[in-house]
Amino acid sequence: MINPVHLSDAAAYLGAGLCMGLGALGSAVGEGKTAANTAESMARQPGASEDLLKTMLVGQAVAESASIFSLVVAVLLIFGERAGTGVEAMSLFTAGLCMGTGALGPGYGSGLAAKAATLSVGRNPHSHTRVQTTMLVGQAVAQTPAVFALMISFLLIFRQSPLGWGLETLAATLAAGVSVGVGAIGPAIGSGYAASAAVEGVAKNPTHSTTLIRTMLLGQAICQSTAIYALLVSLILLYMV
Amino acid sequence: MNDILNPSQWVFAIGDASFALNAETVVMSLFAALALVLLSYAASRRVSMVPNILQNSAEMFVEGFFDLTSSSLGARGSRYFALIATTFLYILISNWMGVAPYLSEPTRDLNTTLALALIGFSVAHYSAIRVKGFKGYVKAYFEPFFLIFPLNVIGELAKVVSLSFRLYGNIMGGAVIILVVSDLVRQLVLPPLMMIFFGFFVGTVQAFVFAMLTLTYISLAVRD
Amino acid sequence: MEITGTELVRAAALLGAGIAMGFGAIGPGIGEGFTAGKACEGIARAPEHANLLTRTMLVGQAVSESTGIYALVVALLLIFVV
Repeated sequence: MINPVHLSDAAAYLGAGLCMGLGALGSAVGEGKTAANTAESMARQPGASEDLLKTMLVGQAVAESASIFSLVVAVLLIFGERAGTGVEAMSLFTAGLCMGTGALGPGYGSGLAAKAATLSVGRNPHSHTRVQTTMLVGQAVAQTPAVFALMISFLLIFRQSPLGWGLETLAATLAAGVSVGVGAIGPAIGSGYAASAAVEGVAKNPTHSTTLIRTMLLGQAICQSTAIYALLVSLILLYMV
Repeated sequence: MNDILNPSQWVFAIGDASFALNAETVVMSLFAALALVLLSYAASRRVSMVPNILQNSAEMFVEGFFDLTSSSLGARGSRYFALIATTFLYILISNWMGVAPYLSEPTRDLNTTLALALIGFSVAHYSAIRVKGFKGYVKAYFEPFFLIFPLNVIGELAKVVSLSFRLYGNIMGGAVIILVVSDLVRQLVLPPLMMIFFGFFVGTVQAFVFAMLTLTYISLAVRD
Repeated sequence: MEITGTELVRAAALLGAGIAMGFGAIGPGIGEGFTAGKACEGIARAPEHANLLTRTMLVGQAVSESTGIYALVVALLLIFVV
């Protein structure tokens, strides 16, 4: 018979690995694309290289935040204290899975926005402040699904685990993580695409930047409603089942 | 963690039924409303041709929002301007309150955001009935074909869910993250930065998104 | 630990709810984001038609949202009805 504390340990380490492994994927691809585009734009517009570098670094920093969320959850999972009661093992594993999958989309989506921003600054160096503002607002909204995933992960990690060992609770826990984690992928990539189009539009037509930002925000907000339904389902699964 | 998830409640017993009020939310939302009243009083007290900073920013805000409402509602814009602008300001002040010590955001409670979403929902449907007449309003649910009716109803209800949970999830998520991370880093350096990001930046964006979506739902409802 | 049939069914339903909503959210999210992006491109090209473009975007998104709503309905049915 396995000691329950060992079971919790094993689940937590497995979760931490999944969390950081999956969580690094999206941001890395997005930031790599950003860097590639910056190099391309610099070759075309060597005079704007300082603005380009600044845009790239700011954009990458925001795209990185999803993987920093994953890092925080992974560290919590590795060093946290474990009581070995109830469904703790499942909660810890699910927390890692949730944050890992939840960081995939936001990292990639914010990377898309940063990529478009470096491309746009290369095309129209004079608009760089407006481009950067649009990029930041768009990226911040694209990170929302990662915030939902992080919230559910924390709720799972610090959960007062029920004593019952029911199969039902186990399934509900896993489902809560899968729902919000996997549900974050699509909306975040979509929001990132909207942000990238808005950024390119601002560079093309800087006088209409407020209209563009407004349309982008509206589009992103609606595009995230499915991530919100996922959050709703997972909160119901955690607290009402 | 438990403070956030289980806020203190006032419980009233009337007959057999008992009612619970979230004490913190009630006090904080009254505080937000009071702040809003005082701020608008201060901005409109001494109106002059050469405006001071407060009057100037208030005028810019009113003008900007008036443009927004009239650009999406046309001539009907002035009727809904007050609702949209007040919704925005109230949510903005509520979200910013989390940054101040001893205060917390009333929007961290699902009850607040759900109430705000229901206000927008009721106004949108009332306006739809007013503009299209009851028959036209009901007919819109059976378009494009008859069998789609239940899905249209669910779609309308889903708007309320997504509107309220969007605000709640962002503010609550920010609060949970600030709490846990502040504890992890022993209150060093990071908490103020995160408060600025989640309180001011995300708070402002979400307040604007909420007001814009309410406006959009109204304008879609009254569209002929 | 003895697992009864009803428990198994209930557990499967809950897991199914999570999977339905999680995977069901991917498609509408990407699709609606694509719509929003195209609307932004259109506004950058023809700012005078911003209102028309925004309205078209909203209607298009509302339609592609419906699959996300089906996922939500299925998930809620699995949790509360099954």
